[in-house]
Amino acid sequence: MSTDDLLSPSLRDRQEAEARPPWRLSSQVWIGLLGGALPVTVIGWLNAERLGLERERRTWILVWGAVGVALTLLAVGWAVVASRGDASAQRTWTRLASRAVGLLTYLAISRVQAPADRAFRLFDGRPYASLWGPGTAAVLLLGMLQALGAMALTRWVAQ
Amino acid sequence: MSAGDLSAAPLELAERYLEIERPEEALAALARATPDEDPERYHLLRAEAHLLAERPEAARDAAALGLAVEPESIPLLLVRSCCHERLGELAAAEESLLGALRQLPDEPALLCRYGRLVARGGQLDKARRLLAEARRVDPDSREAARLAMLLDYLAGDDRAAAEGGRRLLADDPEDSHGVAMLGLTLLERGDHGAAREVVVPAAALDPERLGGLAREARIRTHPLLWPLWPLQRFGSVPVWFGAVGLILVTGRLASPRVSSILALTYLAWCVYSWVVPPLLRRWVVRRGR
Amino acid sequence: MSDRVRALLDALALSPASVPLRLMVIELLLAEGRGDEAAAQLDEIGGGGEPNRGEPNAAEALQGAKLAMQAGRLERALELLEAAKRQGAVEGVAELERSANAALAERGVRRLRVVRTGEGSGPPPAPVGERPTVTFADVGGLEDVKKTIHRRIVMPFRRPELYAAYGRRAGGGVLLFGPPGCGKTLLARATAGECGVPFLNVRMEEILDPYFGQSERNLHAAFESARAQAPCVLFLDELDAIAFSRRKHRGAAGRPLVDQLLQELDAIGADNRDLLVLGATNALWDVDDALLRPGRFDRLVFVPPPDVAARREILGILLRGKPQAGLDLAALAAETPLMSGADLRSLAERAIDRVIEEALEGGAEPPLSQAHLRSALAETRPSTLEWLQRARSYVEFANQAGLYEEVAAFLKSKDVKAAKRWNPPPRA
Repeated sequence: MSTDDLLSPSLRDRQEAEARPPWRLSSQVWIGLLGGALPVTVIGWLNAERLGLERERRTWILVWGAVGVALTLLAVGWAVVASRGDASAQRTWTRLASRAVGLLTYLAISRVQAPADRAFRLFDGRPYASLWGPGTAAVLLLGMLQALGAMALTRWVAQ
Repeated sequence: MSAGDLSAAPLELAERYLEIERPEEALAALARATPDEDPERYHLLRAEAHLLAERPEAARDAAALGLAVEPESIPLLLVRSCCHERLGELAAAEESLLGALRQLPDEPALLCRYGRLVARGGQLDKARRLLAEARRVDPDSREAARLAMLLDYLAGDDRAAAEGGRRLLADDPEDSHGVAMLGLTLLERGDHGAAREVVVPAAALDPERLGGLAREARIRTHPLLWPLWPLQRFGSVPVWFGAVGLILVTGRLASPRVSSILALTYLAWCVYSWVVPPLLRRWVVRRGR
Repeated sequence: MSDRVRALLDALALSPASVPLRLMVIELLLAEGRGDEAAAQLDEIGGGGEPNRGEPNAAEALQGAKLAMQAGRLERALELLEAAKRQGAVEGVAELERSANAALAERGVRRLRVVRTGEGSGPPPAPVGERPTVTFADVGGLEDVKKTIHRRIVMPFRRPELYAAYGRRAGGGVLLFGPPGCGKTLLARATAGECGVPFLNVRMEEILDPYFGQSERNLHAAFESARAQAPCVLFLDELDAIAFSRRKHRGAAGRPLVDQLLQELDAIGADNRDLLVLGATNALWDVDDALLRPGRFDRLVFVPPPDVAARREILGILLRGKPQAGLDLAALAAETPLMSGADLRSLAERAIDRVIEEALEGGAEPPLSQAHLRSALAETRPSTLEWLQRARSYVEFANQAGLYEEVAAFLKSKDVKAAKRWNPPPRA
């Protein structure tokens, strides 16, 4: 095996980790649970920058996030149809669907971040940054945006 | 006694002091030395002393001074790489390390060191290729075994990492680094009892390095956290799905009352999982035993 | 004879066993210049169980010895001093003994010292070690530590016959450990002063040598020198440098030195009788395990940071003679938990710097005030914190043999709780 390729520098092109420490991976589950696929994707993307992930891996976060948002809308659509006009059941199933997909999106996105997160814990030594502020903002703003989109879809399906 | 002999003695003395982890005394001995007699050794010892005293910037500068005189010195390149890595300057660390590797491309220890560095930078594929190359040269290399365990751990293959860790410790039970990695892996797997069995006795020999991990293993195996076993073993998301699924199914098949009771129980259990672990952690740390 | 003395003598006739009363009478008699009568009363103190003669406690015996000195009854003074030491008196004992011996020497009487049997009549070898002038009285605070050292180390030297009856010999190895700057070296000197024997201070720089085998020869020479002057205290400061754990050694060059030290302590091919080897270290965890086994450094003494009383005393010494106003050193001592003597010195220096700055700016010469000290305190943190943080890990995980029991107890003390406001420095 030729080692010329192996012994070429590759960390030069790596996005150097920012000075700010990343957020705890396990805390992001709350974003998925309370906000849904869109907020957890955005938080995951920002966290990937903090972890210094390569561009390719960060792209996967966007891919999973897009899948998650699409699934959310599908699941909400299904919930509307399945509840057959029962408003209370519709609300329950819509919320449940959004949360379930949010959590699944979190699972996928966290797997992308996991190796870099473990490396941070093993090598860096700094404590994690607090997710309270950005997490709350993401859940409220992006969660609302997602909910508005779901609501629009609901109305369209109901027509 | 010649002038050369006189200057050699401070270098030897500095080496003795570094052997017993006395960096300030080593630097004081080096202050009496003449750098020109053996500049590589002089600057290397200065860099090692500063590194031991946890001053990586000063160590990096000392190594740079030595490399200005001896640009191909492998020990100085390795020390400078280590300093850069300590400072989080991974690209600069890579440059120095590659300078050494180009002179010794078949040295398994150096290949593994580079593998560790790129793994730290998130390049697990390249790290695996470096590991394969190191094993090609020396299949029984201990550094290769360590790197393999590290890569399994970073990739999330905790079962393979744990097996690798046990093999490492079978060869050298007092390997603190091996104990730390195995303990971490077992904790990640949710195998807290096994982690405690491995780490706590080893912490008696190296409390400074393993104390934090041993304390964590003690906390996670505390009886107050036994109710949280499903969370530790499976993770929060599967547990949520399982609980919600159970509540829904019970509501359909049994009665809404039973379903409500289950829901409240799950909520109480969630509150328990938020409140008790941090309080327990604080209490264990404060108690110190 | 004054009415007062007469009245006290009457009272003494009714209570002949009251030692405090008798001491009062002796004091008054000496004040009135009645030395012979005072001497007669001194002979009545302590009667070996006779009902009319009370047995003095430690403080009373010490007081009696002082009065005997005043009365010129030197032998009686030494007898009472011995009685005081037997009962555990620590403060003031060595001082009094020095004065008594000096007085005896002035009279051309040979010193009352343990003389080794079988020695020739030639003059003793010229001492290389110093005769320490420091005693426990010069060490502020640390009463518990001083008492421990007195019982386990000093008394075997002073009462060799008592300890020999139970198979114990004077000498052996004692290791003082604790955070830096808390008086271990001073305590070692004071111990030698209390024992009244030469003090040989062997520093790491005198032992460690770059040339092969030379460190071991240096160490052997130090021990031989100490043996030649026994009874003697041989003090190995920074013991962890000489006896660094062989398990942790980064190379192999330093291990033979540890082996040499073990041989010296085991007295292989030598005689360590009456040789007390005192070691001091900031890093007990770095000392090779073999050094801590029975027969070597098997007595460990933890020297903690000074307590509040000691800090009060140290501050008083540091600020003595400086222009000052309204200082409440007791309050300051309470606000400086875990600070070592060096930390308090640094605190005092910073406060004085502020005063000098004010003087240069304002023209006047303001006195040192509590405000200056408080302001300096805001910038001073105890240097012992990092040591205690490290020690905590050893207490928690490496205390199976009980090496760190005293440290564990100290970590629960009020001073440590009060010092929580100083968070330990972040680890790199």
